[in-house]
Amino acid sequence: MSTELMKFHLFIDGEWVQGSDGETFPVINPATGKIVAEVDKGGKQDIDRAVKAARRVFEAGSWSELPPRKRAQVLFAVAQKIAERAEELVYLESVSSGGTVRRIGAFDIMSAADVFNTMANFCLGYQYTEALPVPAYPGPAHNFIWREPVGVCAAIVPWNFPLLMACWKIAPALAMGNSVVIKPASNTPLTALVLAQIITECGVPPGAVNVVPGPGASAGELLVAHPEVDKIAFTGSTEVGRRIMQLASGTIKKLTLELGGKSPAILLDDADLAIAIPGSLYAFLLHSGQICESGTRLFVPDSLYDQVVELLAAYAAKIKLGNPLDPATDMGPVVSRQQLDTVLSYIGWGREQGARLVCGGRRAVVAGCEEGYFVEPTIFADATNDMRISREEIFGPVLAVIRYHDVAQAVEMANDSIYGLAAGVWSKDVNKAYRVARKLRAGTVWINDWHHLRSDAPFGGYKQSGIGRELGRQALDEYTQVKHVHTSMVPDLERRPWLQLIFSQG
Amino acid sequence: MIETVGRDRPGKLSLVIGGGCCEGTAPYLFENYFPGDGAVLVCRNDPVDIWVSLPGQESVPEHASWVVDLARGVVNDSMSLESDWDCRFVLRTSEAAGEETV
Repeated sequence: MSTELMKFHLFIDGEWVQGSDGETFPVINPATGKIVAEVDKGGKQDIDRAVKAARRVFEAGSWSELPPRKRAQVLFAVAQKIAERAEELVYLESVSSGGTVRRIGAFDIMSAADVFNTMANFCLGYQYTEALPVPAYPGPAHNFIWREPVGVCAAIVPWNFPLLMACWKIAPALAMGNSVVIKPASNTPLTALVLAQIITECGVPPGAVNVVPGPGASAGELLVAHPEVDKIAFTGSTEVGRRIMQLASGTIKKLTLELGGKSPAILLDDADLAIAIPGSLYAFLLHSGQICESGTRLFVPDSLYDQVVELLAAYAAKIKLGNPLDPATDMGPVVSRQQLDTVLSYIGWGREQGARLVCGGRRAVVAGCEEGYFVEPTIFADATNDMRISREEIFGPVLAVIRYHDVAQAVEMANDSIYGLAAGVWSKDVNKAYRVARKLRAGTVWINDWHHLRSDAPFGGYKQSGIGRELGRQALDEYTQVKHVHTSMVPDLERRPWLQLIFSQG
Repeated sequence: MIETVGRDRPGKLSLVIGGGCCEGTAPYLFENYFPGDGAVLVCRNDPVDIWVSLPGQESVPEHASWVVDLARGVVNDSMSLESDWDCRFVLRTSEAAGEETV
């Protein structure tokens, strides 16, 4: 791939357009600290233009009223095109997000295409009309339900999996006939911009998909509060999610919020350590821990505690930090200098509060990427559930290992969190694991695994980890409105039941 | 920066130390802030009140000293109002205050 500085405009109404304020912002490669792209900065005027284009297309019906089989055809084509342009997308994603090419190529791209394929299939099989039984009383009447698109959907996408998180929102939105305006993260707007172009080339009408990168306070606020936006799908922190709820309340928008997590894993005393140890590392080290559902609290029983701590530290030493563009790299940097500082601060607070550092804990200097924002895999033993490293989302490669005496105590501590995004159980006895899973207040529970998501299974949080679900058939309902249509079949006025309710004289 | 924002925004400003996830744990400057459950007002001030909204705040010792610093030249998505000026408030322990960030 070229090392020249890449330049990107906004994608609005089916074409590349310059930002109205004439400003640009840099996209920095977190592995090197160097600028790799310049992107037009979207402002309020651009957001407004994008929303109006999306609204125009929706009202015209050129996508919203297309027969589902035609929408599905386009979505299948998008999936195909994503796979064809994989090399370009992998490169753009890696140099902006710091994700390894190994992970993005093997997982993100295939998952992105899979989401479009799955939503296309769901689009074909969705129950757009549902007839209700004919009532005897007060009837007869003909009643049915229509499920219709919501309208203009705003998608605010984070920087950790920029392409995939955009697809999670765009695919079901388009499948149901909506128009979309995407505000990608300013760190990582590149793949969303290319995706919008791909989608338009595959046959979605110009204006149905728009991408406007811009700062959160101006572009983001306007998008969330815009009266012509019907629905918001947001992935990010609980604090900003709360702010979005507040701003969206002015016009009572529909919301899907996928927020933070501090997901617990409970190791039962019969866990297969040959799998649970690398699995527990995978749970918090994939993408340097920058995943909402990372398993960042590990509850370990007395019987296994010292052995597990030792095994974790030894296994973590195998992780190879490096340039994410190198296929041999296991773990890349965190996304920015600010994120690096945040993670290092939490490591400091962990030590201050008395947790014992058993590995890592420092900024890592990687040969060839000396200016990169790398953090060593970091494990704290002897953490307690009330420490800040156990309660707050660090979003870096940091694990808190917490000892427990009995399973009931472990479950209680696991649930003692404002978050409820995901959880896990490691045990050879699946029935025992199911009994624990039943008690965990989390939207996804993994048994002897982590991070495994499927485009046909719902994902989302309990408690302050969010509202609504992405993926699965459940996602489609987030992008539809429900209309009940009642047709009276009673021929005569006298037989209408409501006559007697307000007309005592007949 | 807070005064600059205040000239642009008519509502009451609040600096909320919260976050997590993609936006990071940091001070957020909001207008007409509606506090979440667990948010604690630590300082009533003009032009800005200061709140702490962190799940682990109960374990922060009373003597803890935090510094709110400002990183410039950072385009960010936090919805914190200084992002309009390509800046981002950051939280430091007092020893690290003033360290160059960008």
